[in-house]
Amino acid sequence: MNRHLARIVLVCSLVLGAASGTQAYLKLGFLTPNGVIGLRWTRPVEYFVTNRDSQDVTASQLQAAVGRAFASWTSVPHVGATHAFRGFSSAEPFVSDGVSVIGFRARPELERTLAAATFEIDEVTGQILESDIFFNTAFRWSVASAGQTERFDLESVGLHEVGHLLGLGHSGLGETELRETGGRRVLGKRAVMFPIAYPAGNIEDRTLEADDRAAIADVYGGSAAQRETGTIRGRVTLGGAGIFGAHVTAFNTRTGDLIGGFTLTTNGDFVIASLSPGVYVVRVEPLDDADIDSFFDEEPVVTVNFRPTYYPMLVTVPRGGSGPAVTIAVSAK
Amino acid sequence: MTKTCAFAVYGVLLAGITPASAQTTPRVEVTVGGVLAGATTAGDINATLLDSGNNPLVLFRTSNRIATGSGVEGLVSLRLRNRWLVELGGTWVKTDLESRITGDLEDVPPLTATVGLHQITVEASLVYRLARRGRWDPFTRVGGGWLRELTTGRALATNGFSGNVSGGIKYWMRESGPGLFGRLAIRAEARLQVRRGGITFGERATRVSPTFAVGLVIGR
Repeated sequence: MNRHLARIVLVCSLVLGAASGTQAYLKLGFLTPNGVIGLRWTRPVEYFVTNRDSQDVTASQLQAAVGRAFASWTSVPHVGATHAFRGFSSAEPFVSDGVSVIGFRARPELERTLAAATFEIDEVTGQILESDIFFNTAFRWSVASAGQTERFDLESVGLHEVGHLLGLGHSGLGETELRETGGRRVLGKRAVMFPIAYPAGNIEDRTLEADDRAAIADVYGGSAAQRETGTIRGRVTLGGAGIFGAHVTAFNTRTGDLIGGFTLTTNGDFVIASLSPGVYVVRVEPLDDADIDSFFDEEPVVTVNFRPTYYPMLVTVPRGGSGPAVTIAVSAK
Repeated sequence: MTKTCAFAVYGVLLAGITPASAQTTPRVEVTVGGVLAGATTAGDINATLLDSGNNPLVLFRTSNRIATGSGVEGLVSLRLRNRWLVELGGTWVKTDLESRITGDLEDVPPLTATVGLHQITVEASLVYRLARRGRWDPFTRVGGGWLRELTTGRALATNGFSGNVSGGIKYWMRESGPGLFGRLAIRAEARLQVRRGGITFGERATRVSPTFAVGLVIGR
């Protein structure tokens, strides 16, 4: 089979307030006539780290921080992805050369972008062939264990970017407010994969949240994760018709975990997988204050003209399966 | 035979109403009846984000409870000694899980989300008979056993522990007649039912609810 390679320049960047919140994790993928094909590695992730020190961080410190980030993702229960550091390299990230490179680059023109990831993929299978990450040296960085004022924590941002490298999109599990100077400020979030970073000095994003763990288990958990977790399936309708891009959040009433998904068809269908068995409150809201491009970059059009709504029943999730499908009827604003 | 007579004399001394032969305790009692399980608080838990200071930002709050439910039960009681019986019983109660959702960050009006719940228990208990007053036969009981909770459609099923401490009374309508219903009583009981595990909310794994049971007792 001939491979159809595609270079994707991602919206997968961690920024200083260019988007706002929804409540969901999202797997990276692309639409084909036969449906959505998700991106994933089918072999161990082998990566190189650039051999140049930055103003604030040495190459060895960068490699250590990235290694901890990989370890956080691959230590999630049932996740079968593996990784291997192959050495330091003079290669540049964001260059299509067949090898995955992680390093610093000076991109002062990206004044709100802390870091970003790109991919080279097989368009038929969704297999990730190469993924690069760069950290923008236009910002000050820190690897101090307790963080450092006015500097962004490399491990926290690295954890977010390695999530992209593994095939995860952005989570919407956060709330923001507009800044007078432009962009948005995070009021609160509950996912490392939320597209907007905490302020400099913060190290909270060194730890994966339930939404992140569910996302990576959904991609790499395999049959073991499917046996141990369950799924909520359903549909969101407005005036009887399905809507695309609605954010659906499942709240576990025992653990307090928040995990979400989007309606990803024009029929309004959604699936939230990798949920711990239990009883859930389900809430749906529009992507009405978000930079939609942070989540979706193609048609169909995201529907935002509806009111946040709870499903009036509690939803039970069994181990290894799903409960009855739910239909959530929302009303127009 | 001697032992039976001794019981009879004792009974007459205590109650002094019914004939001595009528106050012997049946060796076996079978009880079938209905159960009314009171509501129980299942705890509060909030959906929260974290701000940059690691402080919670509440998306919405939930207050959870298990509503009042009703069901049926069956008990088999075996006499061990004069005042002591051992009981093996099973109950099935249909109720609802309820979650009251308030304080939505985007001002969604409060509502109560529910799902049906079936509670099944199998318990072994020790029963102590108090002093009789004629046909009135009071007792106390303590026991425990297995709990299984299933949501409607059996989508979710979990196990746990169920225990009870209770007090009740039987009223013996017939104590010496012939046939299957020769010894017949009405039994009423108030219980403090303790459940641990099963379907839980938040960190509250133990739930206590008042439970009332009424049944028909057939003694042999």
